[in-house]
Amino acid sequence: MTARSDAADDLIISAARRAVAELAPEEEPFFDEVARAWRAGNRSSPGSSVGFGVDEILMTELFLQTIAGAVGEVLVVGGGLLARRRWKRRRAGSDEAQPATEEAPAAVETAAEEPPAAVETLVVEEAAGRDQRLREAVRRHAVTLGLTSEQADLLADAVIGALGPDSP
Amino acid sequence: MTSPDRPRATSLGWVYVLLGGAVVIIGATAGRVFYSGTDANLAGSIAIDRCHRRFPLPESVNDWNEPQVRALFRCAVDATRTSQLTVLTVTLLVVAAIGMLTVLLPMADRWRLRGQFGRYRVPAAEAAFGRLREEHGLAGRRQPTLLVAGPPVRQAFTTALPGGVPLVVLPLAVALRADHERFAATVRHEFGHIAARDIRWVAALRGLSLGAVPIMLLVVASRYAAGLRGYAADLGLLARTTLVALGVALLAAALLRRREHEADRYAVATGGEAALLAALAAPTPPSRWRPFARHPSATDRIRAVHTPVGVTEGGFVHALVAGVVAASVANTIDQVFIFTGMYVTDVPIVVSSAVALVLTGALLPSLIRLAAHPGSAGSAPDSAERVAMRTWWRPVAGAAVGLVLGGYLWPSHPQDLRTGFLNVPGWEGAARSTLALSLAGAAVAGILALLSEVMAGVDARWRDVTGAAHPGRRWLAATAAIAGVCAGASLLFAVDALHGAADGADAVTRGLKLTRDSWILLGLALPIALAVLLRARRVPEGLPRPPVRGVRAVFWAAVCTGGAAVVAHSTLLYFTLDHVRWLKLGVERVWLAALTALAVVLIVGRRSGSTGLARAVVSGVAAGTAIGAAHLGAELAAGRRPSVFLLQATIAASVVFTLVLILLLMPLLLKLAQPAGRGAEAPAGREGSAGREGSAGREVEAPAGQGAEGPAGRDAGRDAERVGAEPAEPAGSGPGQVAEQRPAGESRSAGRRGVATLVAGGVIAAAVLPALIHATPTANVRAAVPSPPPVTPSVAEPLSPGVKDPGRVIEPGDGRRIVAAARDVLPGHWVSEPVVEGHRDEPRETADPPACEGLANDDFVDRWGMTRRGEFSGSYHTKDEGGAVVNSSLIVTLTTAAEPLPARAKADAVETVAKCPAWSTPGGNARTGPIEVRVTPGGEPGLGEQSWSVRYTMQDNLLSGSFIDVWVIVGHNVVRLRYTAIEEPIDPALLGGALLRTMTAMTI
Repeated sequence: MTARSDAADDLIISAARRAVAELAPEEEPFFDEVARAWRAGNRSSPGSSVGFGVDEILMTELFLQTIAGAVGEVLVVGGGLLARRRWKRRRAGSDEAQPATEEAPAAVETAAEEPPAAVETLVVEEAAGRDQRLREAVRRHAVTLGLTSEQADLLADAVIGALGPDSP
Repeated sequence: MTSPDRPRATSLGWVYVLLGGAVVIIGATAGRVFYSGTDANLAGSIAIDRCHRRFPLPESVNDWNEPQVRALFRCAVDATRTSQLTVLTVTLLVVAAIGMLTVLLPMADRWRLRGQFGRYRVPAAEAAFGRLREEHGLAGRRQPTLLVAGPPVRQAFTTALPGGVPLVVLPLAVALRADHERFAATVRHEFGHIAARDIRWVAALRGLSLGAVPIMLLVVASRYAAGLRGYAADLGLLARTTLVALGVALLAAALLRRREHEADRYAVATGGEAALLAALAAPTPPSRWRPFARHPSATDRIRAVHTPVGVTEGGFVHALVAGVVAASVANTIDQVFIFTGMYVTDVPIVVSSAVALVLTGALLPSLIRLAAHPGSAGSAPDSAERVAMRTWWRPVAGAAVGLVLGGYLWPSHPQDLRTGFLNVPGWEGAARSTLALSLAGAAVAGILALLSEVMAGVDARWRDVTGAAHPGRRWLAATAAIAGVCAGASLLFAVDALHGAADGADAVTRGLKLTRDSWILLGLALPIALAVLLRARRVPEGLPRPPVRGVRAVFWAAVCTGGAAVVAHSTLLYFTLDHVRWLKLGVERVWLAALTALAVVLIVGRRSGSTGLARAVVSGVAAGTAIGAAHLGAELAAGRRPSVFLLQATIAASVVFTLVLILLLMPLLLKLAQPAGRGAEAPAGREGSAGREGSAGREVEAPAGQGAEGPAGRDAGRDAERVGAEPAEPAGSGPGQVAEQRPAGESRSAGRRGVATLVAGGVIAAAVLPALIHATPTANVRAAVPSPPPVTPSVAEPLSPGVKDPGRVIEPGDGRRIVAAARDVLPGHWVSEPVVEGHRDEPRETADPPACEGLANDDFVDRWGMTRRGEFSGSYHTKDEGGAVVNSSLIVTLTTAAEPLPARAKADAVETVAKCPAWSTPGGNARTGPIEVRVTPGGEPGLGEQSWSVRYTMQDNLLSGSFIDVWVIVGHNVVRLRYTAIEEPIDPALLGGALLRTMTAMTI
């Protein structure tokens, strides 16, 4: 399991808070405590060997898990694509006997090779693609964890909304 | 106080009785493994063997000598104190460790919950929890408190520190739905655990399910690390130990699952069915391998809500498991005292009591519930006709099979099926042991079934008349439990004493010996308890009881008939002043008393339900006592001196025989007491316990309109309706009161029939019994009274001059006779092997230095140039029951040659011996190391110039011993006696006697 950064946790908690507010408002008063426990990591539960036998999970926990799983998946896949694209460009440059200087940062290199309009298009396209991938991932994770299809859609909307430009 | 209409949680006390048994098994087995193979173990074995040498047990029970046996016991008990202390200490440590878990696990739970206290407050949940708590009547020490816990707690559970109140932990997700039925279902499930009073003990179950295997492996590993050797090094022990641990782990896991099923049923019974089933229908992760799963699967739980799965309480499997655990506990205790079991006279009663305790604890509460609420104790509602006395065969058969299975589950010596409790070793003995075990299990379960029926009947009677339970219900239940343990222990003790009998005569002898043991009188607890329970049936507000004419008539007829028969037998018919004959005749009188008493039981108890049977048992024992008293009076009147023995031989013997007969026949009596009309024709309706107590039998045959009016009479009619018979007329003061409810004419008629049967039975018994008992050998009867100690055989008789030349060529017939002659001088604890004819080439022994191989293999004999005409060998050794460490053997070898032996024979031998003062030879295994042999000077036998002896000492890492070779050459013959003694000195008198006998035999 990959360790999440604080920034990613903040992002997930922010999205989950918004989802809880919309989908499970009765859990809102306890959101901070639950999020703190979630951030502290997974610990085994006491008394589970003689427990009721059926897990009862808060929607808050469920949302946090769903979003964390989806975000993790999208970031890893997205990061992988980006890294592969950069690696291809580097290989192409070296094949034309135009090796990049070690000091030149990749961003500068990219900017020098592509016109500004294309970069903007790429960013917009990538953002749209990311949202789409994130939406699908959230839906998939949510259904896997036991939410209904409708709940999964609502959760996906809430997550996309929370991660959008107008999000806090 | 719970309200009458509130469902009661099924107590799982029987589960914890089985748990206690399992802990004892684990602890004692661990202790035994820990002790095995130690130096102390070896020293103890040697000490016990030496005790046997000093105080040899008689060959036959007829030669039993009390002072000598007691001396042996004292000697052996001292020798095995270390063994007992070691095993008991480890047992206590394991029990303490398991006990500590009941404290540590809840503390660990609390510690892990420490961050949850006060963090999540949900007022609505707290209010709903409080309402449910009141609704379920949980107060005082059972009043639970609530803790709402956030992540990572996702399952509700209940925990409790010792002495504290239960703490119900609810996940926040459940608490936030306090208005939801799921909340109530979850809380009700947890309340089911609290109501069953199993919160604190469940920690021990958790620990046992996890710790049994590691504990045993740890103990075995510690022994191996410490250089385990001998018995404990066997793979068999490791396998058996692991089997015990796995069995206990399986049992603990099964009991944990059972606990959840019971809590589910409680939740459903209190109104949470739909929500519970909905919760269980949610997808759950697959559990571990089923037999070791500590939680039942959701599928099993849904099915078990209405249909019992696994063990049905009070059913065949339940009793079988109880029987297995009881027999295993018995074997374990027996093995704790494995070295002293036969030396401490009280061990059989300890073992018997343990079995009775486990069976009573594990079965009686369930059987009482089954008798009181047949539909709720594990039976499906649509099978309620399978209740009451005719279904007692299930626990009876279960206990019988369970004791047999448990008895042979882990035999101490699998090769000859040697186990502990009620065992006769060997394959033939296994058949008898199986019979004894099954008979004992069935009888104990039968006793418990009778107590359960009567106990449930008391409750039902009070509820029918007053609408409330008997105020002293707990005390009555305790009385029944004590009676169950005492009567069970008494019965098992009797079976233990009787089952090894070789034949009928031996059984009579053992039975007589039994009457001198007061432990058997523990069985009196059963009639006393039944009398108490019968008395408790009398409801103050009930109608006055009419006299019990039928029972009294039969009782007095039996006492008069039996008493008169015994008195006449004792005075007019067979008066004697010969002590042995008097003892023999006494057996007949005691049997007369016991059989008359049994007839009372059969007549009074037949087909009149549990109350009738209870009354019959009380009456029967009273009749046996009264007839015994008449016997005593007759003996005193005949001029015999009053003594404790006279009291034992008359009253005590009559009571004991009566008790043994009644207890052994209890399953049959239960069957006979089954009321008529109960069975296939009974409807599926729920049958009340009152109805089972006689209302459906002859009562329903009573003509209409003959009963008294009144509330109790209406109860009887209702009871009859319950069992589906023809509508019964009110029959007096209630169900179960068969004799007192029946119209006077019918009662008198029954009494007359009973008296007639009794008199006829008495006449037949008086005619047949003496013939049977006179077949008992007088010698067996002697066993009942002390006899003088057995005489040790004299060592030797003077050598008389022979008429034949001992130096002649010995013919085969003479040769066999000569080597067998030494048998006559050997003590009783020696046994002889068949004579072997012909030369045997033994495997050659290696020696270091190699020069000593000649002496080690008697090579000098080859230098004599004998042409063997014949060789004969007689072997004798001390008894080796159970693998005695201390042992001796004697081998007499006679070789006859075609020509006279050379004159230099002795010189050759002496020369060989002189060349080799010491050598070593490979030992049995790496642990024992090589055997160091050293030659020491031997004495001269004094049987001519061609006789000599050589003495050797032996020593390895474990044992020491010595052997002596005596050689005598006469003409054509060479006689060699080799006497070997391990861990004991050579007995020169025995060797001398054997030599003289052998040499004398050569001259005859």
